[in-house]
Amino acid sequence: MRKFAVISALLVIVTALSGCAQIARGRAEIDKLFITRILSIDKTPDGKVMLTLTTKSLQIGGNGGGGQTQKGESVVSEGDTVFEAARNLLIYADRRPHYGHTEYILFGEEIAKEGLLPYLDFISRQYEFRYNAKVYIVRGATANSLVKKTNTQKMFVGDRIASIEESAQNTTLSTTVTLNEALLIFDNKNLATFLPFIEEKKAIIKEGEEEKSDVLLRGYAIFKRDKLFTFTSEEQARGISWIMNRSGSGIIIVKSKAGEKVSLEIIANKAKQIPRIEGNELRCTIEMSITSNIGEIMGTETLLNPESVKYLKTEQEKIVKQILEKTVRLSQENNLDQFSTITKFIFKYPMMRDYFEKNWKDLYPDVKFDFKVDSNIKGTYLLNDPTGSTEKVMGE
Amino acid sequence: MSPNAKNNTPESEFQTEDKLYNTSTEVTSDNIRSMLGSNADFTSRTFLIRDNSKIPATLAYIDGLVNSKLVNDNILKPLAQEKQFDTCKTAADAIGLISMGIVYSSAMKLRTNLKDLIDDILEGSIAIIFNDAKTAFTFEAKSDLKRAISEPAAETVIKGSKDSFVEELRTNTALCRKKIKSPYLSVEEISVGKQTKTTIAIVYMKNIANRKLVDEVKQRLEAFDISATLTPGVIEELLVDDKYSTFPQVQYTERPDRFCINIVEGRVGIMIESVPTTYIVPGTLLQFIQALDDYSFHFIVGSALRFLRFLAMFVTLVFPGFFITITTFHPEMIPTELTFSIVASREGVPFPMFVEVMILLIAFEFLVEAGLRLPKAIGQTVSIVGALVVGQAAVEAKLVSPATVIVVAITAIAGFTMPNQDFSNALRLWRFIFVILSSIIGIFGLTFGLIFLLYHWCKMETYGVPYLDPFVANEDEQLHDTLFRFPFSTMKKRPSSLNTKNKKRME
Repeated sequence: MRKFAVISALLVIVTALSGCAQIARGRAEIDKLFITRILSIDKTPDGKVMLTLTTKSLQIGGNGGGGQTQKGESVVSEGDTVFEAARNLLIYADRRPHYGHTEYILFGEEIAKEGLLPYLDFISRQYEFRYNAKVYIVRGATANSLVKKTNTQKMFVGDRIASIEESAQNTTLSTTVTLNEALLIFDNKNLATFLPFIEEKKAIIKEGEEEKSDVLLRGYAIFKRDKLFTFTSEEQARGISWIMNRSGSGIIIVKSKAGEKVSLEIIANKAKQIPRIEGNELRCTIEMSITSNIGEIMGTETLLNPESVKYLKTEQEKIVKQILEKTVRLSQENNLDQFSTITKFIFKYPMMRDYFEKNWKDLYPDVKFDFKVDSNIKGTYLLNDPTGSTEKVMGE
Repeated sequence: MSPNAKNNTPESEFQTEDKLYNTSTEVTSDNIRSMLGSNADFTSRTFLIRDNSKIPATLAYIDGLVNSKLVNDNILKPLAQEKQFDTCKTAADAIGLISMGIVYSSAMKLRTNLKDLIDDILEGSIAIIFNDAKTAFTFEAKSDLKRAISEPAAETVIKGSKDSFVEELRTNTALCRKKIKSPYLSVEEISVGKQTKTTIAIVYMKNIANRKLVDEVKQRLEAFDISATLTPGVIEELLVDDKYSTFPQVQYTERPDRFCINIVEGRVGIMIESVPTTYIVPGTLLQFIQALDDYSFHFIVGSALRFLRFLAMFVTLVFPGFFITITTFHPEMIPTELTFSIVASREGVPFPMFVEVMILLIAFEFLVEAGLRLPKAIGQTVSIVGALVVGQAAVEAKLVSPATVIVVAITAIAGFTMPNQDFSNALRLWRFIFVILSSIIGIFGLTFGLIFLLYHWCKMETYGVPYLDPFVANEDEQLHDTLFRFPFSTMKKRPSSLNTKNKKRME
């Protein structure tokens, strides 16, 4: 009897107190699910919410002889609210949509301008979504049209975005923002969100080939509260990535004394915001250390001497400082604290937390920013002098 | 005549035999013949010692159980030719001479009651009966009815000795003595089974083993009133604490080295006559996962192999259930690309995942059973049928998906890594429970099953030792030989749970 009581108690705890009221109803065979890889959210011309679920092509067969490819599928539904649109998906899809594998959440430009919070709120409440799904804004089009145009039988658009995400690490153009990060930033009223944006671009094709579209990652979309405000230039995107310590490698092009272009490959960079109050003035120093290698010289000049390297260091410093200044200026002009400068002030002056939080909108545009760049050039991949650099000597 | 009528006929004869078969019946050749005379293999003849008509004697034995050459050369020859018998005038004189060792036998017994005499004859002795003196001598002259010591069939090791126990109890005790040359090695024998009178040897180290443990083993074996103990399972049931648990509580081995290692550790060994498998008590969970090779290899390699076995235990137990869980209830737990592979592999399969897994698991059990029962010569057929029909054909016919075949195959292979077949069988059974629970309420069911299994293990005890020892109630260095095997130099003490007399394994 005691055993029976223990078993029953365990059974009751496991089933009844699990937090899931209809536990057994969650059952569904995996092949009866529409496993969403990309969720696109747009606004239709008549003001409705349009959801597009896209899944990847399936490899079917495989009895030793290859197998056939099934084209990736999309399901579209509309509704007055995002919840209704999601429910309507059940009508259009032959399988139950499953969001557990959604890797990308794409928002069209129009809907982003109206505000993302209602949609992000819906997504965050839907238990199936993963919080590491990446959020992108589609520039100049609806997310639905971008997916339609770029999703081909050979290349799934999700895989293409994944590959450009990887290469973005080497260009300092943009970085990924996860759903979790986006929600955290949106929750802070003093911060401005930046989300990476993608856009459609005509792919380079051979003569006679059909026209193709490709996806490119271009920079960041800047938000004022939850509404899309503007898109950054490539330079500003780099500045944001640097200040927020979100960048990997990248190329800085400087000119040598002789006016030849030199490509410096960034191998390390780190930025730090140091806030302080001087009199009645809020000041913030952005200290950045950047280390690069000489990647290539577009000329014949030999730069492997201390004097030339010192010159290049100074040039690198100038360019980095310039980018940082431009980025911060734009941010202050628009009164959008994308760099979480308020947090740095609160950490330094915790007793003034309430004051900062209440008045940050008025304070931020007047914060005096200073820039200190520690520019380093570690070495070079060039083991030999550039071709042609000895020509003069031999000619003499 | 009906079968019942046939069975009723000899009832009166049984009653006669029951009356004779006791320690108060006199030893006479007639009584012997009344008891055993109806058997075709019973042989008896009367002869005269040194041709002296005053000293008749009867020779009695079971043909086949005794060695004829030994009987002729060592017993009958001296009785017929030894000149010292010329001085005998009565049977009593001859008995006196035989008692003094005139017959060449190391194991001679004087019997004055019929029960003892018959027991000796049935054990393979030859009897010389003196009707006048109501006395008999029995001489041990067992025939060589034993199998040679061969390599262990079920417990193979890469390093280590290649001998194994045989059906002959005395050979087995000798194998044990050969490995433990200690005067403290004790071999006690008891007889179990009314009809079979199977001799069981209890082997332990007097200076190490806990006396209470030895007494408990003896008590359990003696307390059981059973007619036959021909299968080891009967003895095993006598020894276990929890008869309803599918998990083994007694360790078995056919390897003398493994048996002796455990004896020296302070455990008690049990050898059964005519059974080449020996038992060791108490048996704990860890022992069923440990293999002898763990101690033969370098301790890092041994540890890795043992950890792998623990992993295999977990895999074989929960993998099919977990697979059902993630594919039916929690697909978000599967990596994205793998999800699509599974979906693609299930294309066209009509059954739900639960049915698919059950079909394959049951088919696998059929194959295992068939493989065990089939004669070796046609055993390969099962593998071919298994691979082609269950594997390839079922996948091609879209009865099952390749992913499920792989899951069940991994489960099966993982199960075969268990060194103890009883333990492996228990895991096989529990696997089905987990599959059913998983198919009802997903990960909650699986978790419930695991909690219940843990509860079951936690409440089990064998001879006062927790089944999960040394993971529970352990002392200091006992964990050095569990998930991983530490160097021998760190394992200086014997298992504390055994409460041995001598706790130190090494100084």
